[in-house]
Amino acid sequence: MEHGATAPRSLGKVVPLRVAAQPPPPLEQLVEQGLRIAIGLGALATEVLSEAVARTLGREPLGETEPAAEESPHPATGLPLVAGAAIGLGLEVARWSARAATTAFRSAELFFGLVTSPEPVRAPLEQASSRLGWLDDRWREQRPRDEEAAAAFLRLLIPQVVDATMDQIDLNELVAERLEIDRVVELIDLDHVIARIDLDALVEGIDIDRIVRRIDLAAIVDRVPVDDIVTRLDLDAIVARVDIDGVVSRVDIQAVADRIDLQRLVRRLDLATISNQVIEEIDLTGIIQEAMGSMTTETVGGLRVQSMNADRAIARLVGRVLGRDQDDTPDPPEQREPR
Amino acid sequence: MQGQRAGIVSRFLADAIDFFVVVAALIGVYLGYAVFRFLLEPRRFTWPEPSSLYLGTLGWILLILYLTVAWANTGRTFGKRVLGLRVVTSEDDRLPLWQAFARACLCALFPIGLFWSAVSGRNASIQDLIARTHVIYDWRPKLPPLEG
Repeated sequence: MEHGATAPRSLGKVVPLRVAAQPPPPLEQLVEQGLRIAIGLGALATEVLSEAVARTLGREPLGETEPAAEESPHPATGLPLVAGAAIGLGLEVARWSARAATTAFRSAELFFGLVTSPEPVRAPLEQASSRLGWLDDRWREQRPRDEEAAAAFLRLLIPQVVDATMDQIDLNELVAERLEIDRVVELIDLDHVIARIDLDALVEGIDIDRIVRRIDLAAIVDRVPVDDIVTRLDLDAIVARVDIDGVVSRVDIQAVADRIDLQRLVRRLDLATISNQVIEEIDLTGIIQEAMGSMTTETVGGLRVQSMNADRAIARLVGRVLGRDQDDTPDPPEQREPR
Repeated sequence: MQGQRAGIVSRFLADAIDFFVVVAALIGVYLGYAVFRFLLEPRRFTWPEPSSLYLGTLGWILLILYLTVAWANTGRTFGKRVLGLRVVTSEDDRLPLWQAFARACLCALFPIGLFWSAVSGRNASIQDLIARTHVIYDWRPKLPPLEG
């Protein structure tokens, strides 16, 4: 028993062929259920057969063209009515037969008990029973090996049967026809799935360089309508949002200045020509002359006049204090005009 | 007013400007000397610390040189140019070199003699009386052509 139970488990996903034995149901129910299954199987087989025959004739099965037939079943007429009545009659006959058989079995069991109670009858029966028990024990001993052999046979047979079946089935069509993708997706806990994915390992496995090498950037850029994008951009608004002060404060001006070869830049400049041009444009001589001229005519002129008036005031005051004739000082200008 | 003898205020202002010119020249000489020392011994350079006597003597020499050269050439220093004055001989001629030098020495030795021009009836300072010169208003940039 143990060998038989463990052998299928080694097959992995294969369903165990045999489960623990349940107490047998009453014979009446057993017979009725068996008949129901047999009738159901017969009906299904008939339907499948009729569909297969219809397909061989190039016609679509009835169910696909008339999907709403289940909601309002038409009352059967003719041959189907007779066939259904025959099946119903058979079912009733089987049910009554099972009851009759059960009653007969119980009666026989009672009668058999009465018959086998005397000693002369019971002794051969017990001998026969022990003989049967020996046979049963022998079968039970042999059963694990038989089951193992059968399981090995099935292990070889089932893959071939499945392969042959799969060859006949278009799984894509089957999935599209039978599977409700939306419902399956609703049942999937995507968060849980994503949490189980090791994204780091996934990213490490991707050869970014190889992908980038395969990308034709020029072709992509050619397809981008740059002019259209630029005309739609509000550059003023974008520039207004840029924190220029922040950017400038992050720039290491000293590092930038260190990288500039000022000597080389200066050597490339024609300083002599530039200086001459600047001097010619500035007209430094003219500016100096103009400045000196303005100083002489405005500031210095005022200073001279004021100091001269002060001289005359002092001279008058001194002359008055000393009692000097005012006409003596100063000398008339015409007499003292320098030659 | 051109050609008249200049009064005390104009002359004092002109001499004050000249004084500052000489002080500036003195500072320039000091800085030049310091630069010269720095170029000679950059690592052991210290600012020169001349004595007051040395500085005074140097300033006095600079003043005499400045006045002599200015009066012997145009008859006007920078201060006198600003105030429009000119130093001339008693014949209203340009000063010869010896006369300019003598007047410069007198001015440098006895600058207070300038104030005699305030009380002088002919606006003459002590230096003018000794050196036989006088100072006139002359705003024209150059001397007029001399006769003879």
